[in-house]
Amino acid sequence: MENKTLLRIEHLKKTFGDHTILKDISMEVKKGEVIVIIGPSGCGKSTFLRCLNHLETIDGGAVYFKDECISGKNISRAVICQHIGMVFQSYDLFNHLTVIDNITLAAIQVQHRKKAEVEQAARRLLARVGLADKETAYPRQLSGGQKQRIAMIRALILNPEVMLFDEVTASLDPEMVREVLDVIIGLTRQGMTMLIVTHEMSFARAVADRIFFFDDGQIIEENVPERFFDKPGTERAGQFLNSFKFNSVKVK
Amino acid sequence: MHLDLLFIQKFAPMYAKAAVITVQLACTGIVMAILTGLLVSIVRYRKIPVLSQLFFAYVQLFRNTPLLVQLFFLYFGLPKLGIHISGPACAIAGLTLLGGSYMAEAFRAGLSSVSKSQIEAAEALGFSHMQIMRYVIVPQALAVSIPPLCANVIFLIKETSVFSVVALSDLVYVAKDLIGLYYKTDEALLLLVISYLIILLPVSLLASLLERRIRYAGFGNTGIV
Amino acid sequence: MQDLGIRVLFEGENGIRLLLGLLVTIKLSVITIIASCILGTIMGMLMTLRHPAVHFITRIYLEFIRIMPQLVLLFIAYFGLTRAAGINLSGFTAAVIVFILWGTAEMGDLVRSALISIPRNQYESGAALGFSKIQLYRFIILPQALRRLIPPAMNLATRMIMTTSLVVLIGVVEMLKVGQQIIEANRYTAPTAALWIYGAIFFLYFFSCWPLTLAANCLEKRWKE
Repeated sequence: MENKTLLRIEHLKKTFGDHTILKDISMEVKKGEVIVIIGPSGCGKSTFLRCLNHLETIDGGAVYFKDECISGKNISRAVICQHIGMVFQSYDLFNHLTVIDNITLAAIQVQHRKKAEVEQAARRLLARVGLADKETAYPRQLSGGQKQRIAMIRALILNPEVMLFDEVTASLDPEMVREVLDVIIGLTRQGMTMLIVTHEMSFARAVADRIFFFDDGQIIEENVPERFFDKPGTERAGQFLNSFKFNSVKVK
Repeated sequence: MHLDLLFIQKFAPMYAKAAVITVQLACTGIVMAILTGLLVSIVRYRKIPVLSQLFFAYVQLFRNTPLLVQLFFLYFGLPKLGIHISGPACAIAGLTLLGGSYMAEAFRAGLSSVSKSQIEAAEALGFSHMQIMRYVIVPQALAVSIPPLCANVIFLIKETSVFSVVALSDLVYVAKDLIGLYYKTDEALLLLVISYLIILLPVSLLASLLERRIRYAGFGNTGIV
Repeated sequence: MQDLGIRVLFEGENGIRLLLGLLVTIKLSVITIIASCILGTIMGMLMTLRHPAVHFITRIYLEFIRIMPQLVLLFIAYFGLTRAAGINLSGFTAAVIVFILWGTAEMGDLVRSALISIPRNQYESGAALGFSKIQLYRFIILPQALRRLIPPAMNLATRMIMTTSLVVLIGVVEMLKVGQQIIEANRYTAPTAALWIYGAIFFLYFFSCWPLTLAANCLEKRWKE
């Protein structure tokens, strides 16, 4: 079971006008695996995630979920999104709804689940991330870190089998990064399959089973985290990682 | 200023009758204007081809011409094409066309205030287009649209003051009549002002109350705080 | 029949007369818009003073002027003032007074909200950089306030142009009146004249106001933060 391929991407291509964002991406993700995608901004890593759940239409190649092609035009987004959850950099909670309504709306309306059952599940999840007291708050009354944790619950309550995280800590104040990443770490313990785009290098090293380094719309390197961070196999990845290090900077 | 109270007493019922006509026409026109505005703004928001461009032209045409001129055209111009419209119908049609273009703008402002990322987040949760409209876009858009919508309602009620030109015995018509007949200018004008205050003050108070409630109960962190 | 109608527009001096009528409309608009801008700016600044008496008086003035239909104000000025004060106002003068009073109220409110919309930290950070009071307004506050003020002020100007059409109802000879005269004069030779004349007036108003609306929209979009 553990080695079963959950998500298979074959020769994915994406263009905007005459600009090619993703050139030829192939990848296999096994059940329970945590994939971290890193790379310079504009390398196409966010677009890649968005292609997986139909937020972007793809211009070539295919995506398979449990051996079933899900990238065709006739596939309903509603169905895919129940299997593949996504969390964004800008949280995007619905401003007009309370926390509990934000979390339960899709489960009730899209999955047609019972309100009582969903609310119970929502409360359990809220308690798990330490936000049980925020049930009736509105998004604007929350901090960035709190909003992001709720955005995660909002996706998790649909019981997805894969989670996509698109730079979920990029717009947070530093002291809030940890509380959000802890939720993801908790998910790895539960065996959730995840694709994570992030700039938090030590976090990437800690949670990733495999690291994919993207540049210029291509996969430049695929490696296990220890090797990738200590001895990257490609020059471009090495240069990229160096830009995060300060040990060569001498003060005075 | 010496006011003839007997005169006021005698003619107040005439004003009351005229006020009823004004209110009836205004209500009908405003309801139809809101429906027109909704239709136009949704078609424009969804970018439905052809219809969208047509409605754009409509909004521009009627937002940039006075109601008085629109009424002259409908009431005196169109019959020359064989299209005869009665006075009240003209008044309602004029108010609907003018108001529709204003209401469309109010709704457009609301719809465009809902950011693209809100819609994407809803898409990622698997909502259908209709569900996104109903649960995400409309509630947020309404909060932004209601203040301009209220302003438009007051504006449209005020605009009804030109209805006398299509031979309707509205408030202005009665006032002008009495001034012409009896030279009781002060009394006639006073009754006119009071009549409009009775109609407009409650609406205006209600509007500011509604606006305040939306502002303080505002749930969003953008636009309406 | 209908080709006869459209000929009315080009016969003799009819076209020229209509345009001269438009000139009266434009003259009235330009005078009152300029005066309203100047007086409205003063009023808007007064309103930000937070002086209780000033606040009370300006508020009452603003609310009364705004809630009354402009036509009622015109009637009060034209019929009421004439009698009450014994001065004989021409329709044009009465219109100038009313539109300046109305324009000042609306403009004052726009100026006020533009001024209070500048966040306090803009004043503070300017002061922290050592700007003098005048420099602070000249380089930091005014440029931002103007960006918020100019688009709605332009929209107010188009509304004022459109509202000037009402002066025909107090006997000012402007475009609509000229149109009526032409239609009257050609009643037998061109029975469909009403269609063409009122249609022409409709579009003359449209093309007077539309460029302003477009420019306001364009500026608003460009200056949006």
